[in-house]
Amino acid sequence: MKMTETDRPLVLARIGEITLKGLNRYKFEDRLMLNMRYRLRHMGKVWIRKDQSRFLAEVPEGWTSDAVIEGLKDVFGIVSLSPVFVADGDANDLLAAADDVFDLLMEDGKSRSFKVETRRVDKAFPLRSYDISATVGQRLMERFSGRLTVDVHQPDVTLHLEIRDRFYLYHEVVPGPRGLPVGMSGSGMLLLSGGIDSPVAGYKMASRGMMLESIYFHTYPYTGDEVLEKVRALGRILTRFSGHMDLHVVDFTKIQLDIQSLCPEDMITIVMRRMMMRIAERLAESRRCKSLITGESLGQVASQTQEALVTTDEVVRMPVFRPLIGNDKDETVGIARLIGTFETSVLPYADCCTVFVSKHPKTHPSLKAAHDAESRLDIEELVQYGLEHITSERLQFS
Amino acid sequence: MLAEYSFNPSSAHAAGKRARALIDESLSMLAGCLGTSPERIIVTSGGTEAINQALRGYITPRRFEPHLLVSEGEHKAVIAAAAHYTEQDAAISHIPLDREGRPDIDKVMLDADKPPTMISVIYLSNETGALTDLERIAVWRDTHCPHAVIHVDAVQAAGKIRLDFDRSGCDFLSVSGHKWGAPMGLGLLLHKQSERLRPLISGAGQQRGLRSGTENAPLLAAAAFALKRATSQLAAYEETAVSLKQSFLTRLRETKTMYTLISPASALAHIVTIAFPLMGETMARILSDEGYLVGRGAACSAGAGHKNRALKALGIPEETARQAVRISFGPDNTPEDVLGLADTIHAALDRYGMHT
Repeated sequence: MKMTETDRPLVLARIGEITLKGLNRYKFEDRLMLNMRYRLRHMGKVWIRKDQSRFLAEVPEGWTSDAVIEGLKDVFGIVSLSPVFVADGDANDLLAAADDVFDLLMEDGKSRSFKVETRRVDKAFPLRSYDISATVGQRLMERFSGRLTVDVHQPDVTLHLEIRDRFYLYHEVVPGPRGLPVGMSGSGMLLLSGGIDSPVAGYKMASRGMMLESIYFHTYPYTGDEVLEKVRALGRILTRFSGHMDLHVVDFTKIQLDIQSLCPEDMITIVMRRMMMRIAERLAESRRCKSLITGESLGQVASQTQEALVTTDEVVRMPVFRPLIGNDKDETVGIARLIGTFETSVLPYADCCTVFVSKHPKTHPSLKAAHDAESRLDIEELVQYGLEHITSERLQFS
Repeated sequence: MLAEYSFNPSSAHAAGKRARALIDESLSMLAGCLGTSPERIIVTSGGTEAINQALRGYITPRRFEPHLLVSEGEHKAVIAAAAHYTEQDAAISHIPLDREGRPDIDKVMLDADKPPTMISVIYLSNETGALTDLERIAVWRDTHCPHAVIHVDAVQAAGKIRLDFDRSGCDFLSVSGHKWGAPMGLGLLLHKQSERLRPLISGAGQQRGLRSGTENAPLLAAAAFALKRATSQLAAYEETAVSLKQSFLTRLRETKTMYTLISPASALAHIVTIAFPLMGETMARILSDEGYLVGRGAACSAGAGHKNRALKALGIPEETARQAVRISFGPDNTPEDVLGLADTIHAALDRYGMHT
């Protein structure tokens, strides 16, 4: 079977969960291929080929395997990536290719243990898999005498040889983000603040194949434009994983001021969150999103107790996904560091959640208390006001 | 002027000599305005470097253990440089502030076994406008620890108060050019004991080896020119500031605007730290949109943690400290400016003030 005809190096992408899909598996694979191309769009047209439970991408002229891997390592659906070297010819050429690969690897002067794994797809090749592994292994041992030892159980390096129409060699395995290809699970509206949690919540849902849109409630001049800039920056980091994402910025100041002056002080946070959910849902409907996503974690703050969540859920009919609900802060911070949002999230600007807090908020509000607190607000008018004061922009990772 | 003087003053060619002459002339002018002589000036990249050079570059006489005594009302530059001081196993202790926000040196508990070797005080507080009595500091030093040197952070003061370095009792003094109208990127460290300074920046040995790096003749000339002008207007500026502050506060009272004046009565009129019933940060943002650039009073907003000692000393509660803004009256401000500012503040409170 022909995999490639040029001498360009390849990058191998392995897929995991997708292979468990049934008859619609091809849909997931097509989507993944599309997402891979999108992520590498700055390289021009990239040749990508499906091969059973994996994909092969050709490293375009002017680019390195590392650059391709850098681009693909954030694409959901990919389990791991390997740079692949290609060679042609007979057994001697295979040995020479293995030399080349190890010359590069051993350049650092370190010693390591290794083994060779061969897969012979081209049964016409005169040597059998075991013999190929033994011969190549022997040869490498001699070439790097004293610095290479064989360990077939837990080697530092495994050199994989595939004998097909050509020879394919690789040893490096870079982990991918796993999950499902973005776009396979519809769209969700992420309530994005400038904090640590909401970007992580977006990441978690995107990892299940969800496309993201995001909504941010801006309360200028109480919160500065630097917070909006921070939200944009966080959104842009998210698009590394989620593909492009629309950010909808609601001018929330008037609504906030109304809440402030017409609601009991200890219910301000709850009412504010209820208003945000209402506006988010209405926007989500018009944007064909089927769910809302928040970064709430049970009991983390006063507005995230069970009772408080019940009062915020009451005002919407869409499902509200809270992927961090059972996380503790350390777990969430760990993911935030991993995906690179943490450093931006902790920039010290006040956001709406820190400016408008009452000193003793109600931690266990009843639905009735929420209704009473809102009794002096014209809810529908405020929701309309919010919807009419939205500026939208597309965030895109470049 | 840039084209004419952008040459290396250490070069032997004519253009270089011209640059050298301009530097010498500028240094003389600067020295004249600051009450010292050109040999006692080190030109740095700014106030922060000058402060770092003094605090971290001072070589303590070997018979003493390094012990830094700083006031609790210092600028971040001094606090951070002092923190570096402690990393080197040196002791550090603090001068408490009095009710007016000034260092109260008589309250310092002296440990006879470990006397201070360097005292660093801010001359004019950037946060409250409080003015330190330098003479009292010097007298205290002469009485209790005559071997100690005094460093004065006069960054905020230069261009507002007359400085007379040679006749003052202090040994080091840091200033920054942009505070008196020069472009950013120039500071000066004045010194009386250069032999006790270890340069922080090494290189080709410019400025008697104390601060290497090619000197910037045009920048120095600009700074000298600006300082000369500022110095000649000191009295007028002071008068303007006093009357502007007066009109501003009067207008606030007339319009029944709620405020808490944080600057103590003894403070310099040029800087007014004042709190309104609205977060200082929010107020600064609204005023900026209306064309008034004011500072945030306290650096402790957004829960950044840094407790503001200067404001605490004045008995200001944390909530009020977070509402503080810092208004600086410049020599070019007019009475209309401050009336407009007061009215804008009033309108902002009407619209955005905290109702709870």
